Amino acid sequence: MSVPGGGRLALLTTAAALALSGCVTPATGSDSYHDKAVTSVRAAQSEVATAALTVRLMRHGRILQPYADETVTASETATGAIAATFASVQPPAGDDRLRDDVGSLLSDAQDAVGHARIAVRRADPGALRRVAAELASVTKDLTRADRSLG
Amino acid sequence: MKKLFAVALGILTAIGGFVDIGDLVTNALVGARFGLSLAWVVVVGVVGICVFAEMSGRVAAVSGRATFDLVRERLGPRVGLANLLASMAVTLLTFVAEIGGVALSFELVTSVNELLWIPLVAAAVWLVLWRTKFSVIENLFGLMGLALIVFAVAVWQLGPDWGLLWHDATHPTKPGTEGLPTYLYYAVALFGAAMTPYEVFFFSSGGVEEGWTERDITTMRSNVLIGFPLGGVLSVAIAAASALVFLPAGIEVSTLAQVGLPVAVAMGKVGLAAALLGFFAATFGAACETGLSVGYSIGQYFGWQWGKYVRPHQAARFHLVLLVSTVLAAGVLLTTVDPIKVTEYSVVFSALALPLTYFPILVVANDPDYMGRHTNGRLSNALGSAYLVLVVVASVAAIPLMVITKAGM
Repeated sequence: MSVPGGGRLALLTTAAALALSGCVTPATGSDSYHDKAVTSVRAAQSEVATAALTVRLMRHGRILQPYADETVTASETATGAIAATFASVQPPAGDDRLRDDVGSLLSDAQDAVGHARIAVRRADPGALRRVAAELASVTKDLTRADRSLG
Repeated sequence: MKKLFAVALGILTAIGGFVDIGDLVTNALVGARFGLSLAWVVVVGVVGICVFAEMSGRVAAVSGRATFDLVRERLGPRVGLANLLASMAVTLLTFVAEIGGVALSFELVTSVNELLWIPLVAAAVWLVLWRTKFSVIENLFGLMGLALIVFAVAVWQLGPDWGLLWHDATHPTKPGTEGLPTYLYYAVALFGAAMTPYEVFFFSSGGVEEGWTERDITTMRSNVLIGFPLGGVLSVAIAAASALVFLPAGIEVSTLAQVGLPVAVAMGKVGLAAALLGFFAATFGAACETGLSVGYSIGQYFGWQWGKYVRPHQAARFHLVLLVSTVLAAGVLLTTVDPIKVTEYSVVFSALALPLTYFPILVVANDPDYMGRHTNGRLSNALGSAYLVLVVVASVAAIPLMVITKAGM
């Protein structure tokens, strides 16, 4: 089948636009959904680890407060986006359990990073200590999930 | 003594001015994901930029004209236009990224949203481009950029296993968790970041601004051959600091704030303050350089009076281009596009435009009508030709790799 020059260009442009947009595509099967779950868990792990590192630096007085605030706020925004993106994917039949489990983990991650942002802005040593423990616990859960999924 | 001072100043500004937002983000991102297994790309990129910067600097010193001033004359208007469009598009994208980088740096210090900083930063960049002497722009931000040496100190303070770091850097292997296309995609991105076209635009046009003659060739060479590689060492230090702190923690870099965290881990608030100064100097200095490069390339193509060595009213169209591109860059950023994403795309598109930027330099540097006895020697031609093949490969591979890897995801 021959594709006219203009049509070929349009096809290429569309393919490139889809690839570059990073938009959420519907899961085409169980494997694809599983991959999206793994990607989401790993991305959340990265954001939680960033928040945990920032909280540790804040507790030890090794970071400027506005800098810590910006770092944790960015992590909170990213974690929210990861959770929302995963939640928006239509799961294939039979994968509802996976959706609930990963969704719940991502929600916990979002909460923990949100608590970190509050503690950093208040520069409250007690709250920072508590949130460090919460982040460590969420990190453990995410690591366990990553191992079982991966 | 004066000559020695000029050489030392040139080298220091070349080191401090080497790193820009593309180098900061790409090196930190790559270090966090690949350790030092892609450090070889920085070495290859730095040698490449040295080869072509030396050529374009020599052209400026011998002919008294910037390389791209000669492209249209030597290769005709069509090739000149292709060269102009490709490199200017990438330079403009880089200009957007740099202004965004300055705004992000201010946000990190003040917690005031970057969007509120963007108009102020754009106005400040334009004012500096309009009112400040070329030598001040080049030297002040170049010297302030030396604050990024804090990343090298941080690597030392983190107390790494030097043998392991050296082994990772000299025995590049793809990490098991990453696919080959992703590894290659980031190799192309790092290569593009190291060989960004605006660097040669700025370097050769800057030579004309400073009135280089054949007597300045030695100074120019020392700036390039000592300053740029040491700037490359800073790039590797950013990647190494990132690898030491982020790789074991599974942290991926997606913000400018994350880039500075390893310095805070190693050196606390003082180190972080130095890193912030470095971020500001690197991005603001590069914003001025990219802004000027846009004006230089358009002015040189159309044969207008250009440059900061004449008063603004004598180069009105050149200054109008600077104003319009600054407003355009601010407008793009105010659409709330993420400056870090713009940076990531700019380094890959930079790789795409490399052949159109570097091929004309090789042609002009071999033309005895312009260069007299200073045409390329065998070594310059051998390296230039080898790099031309390399930049074509990187250029051809850039977009397919971007599509296959979904931009490195």
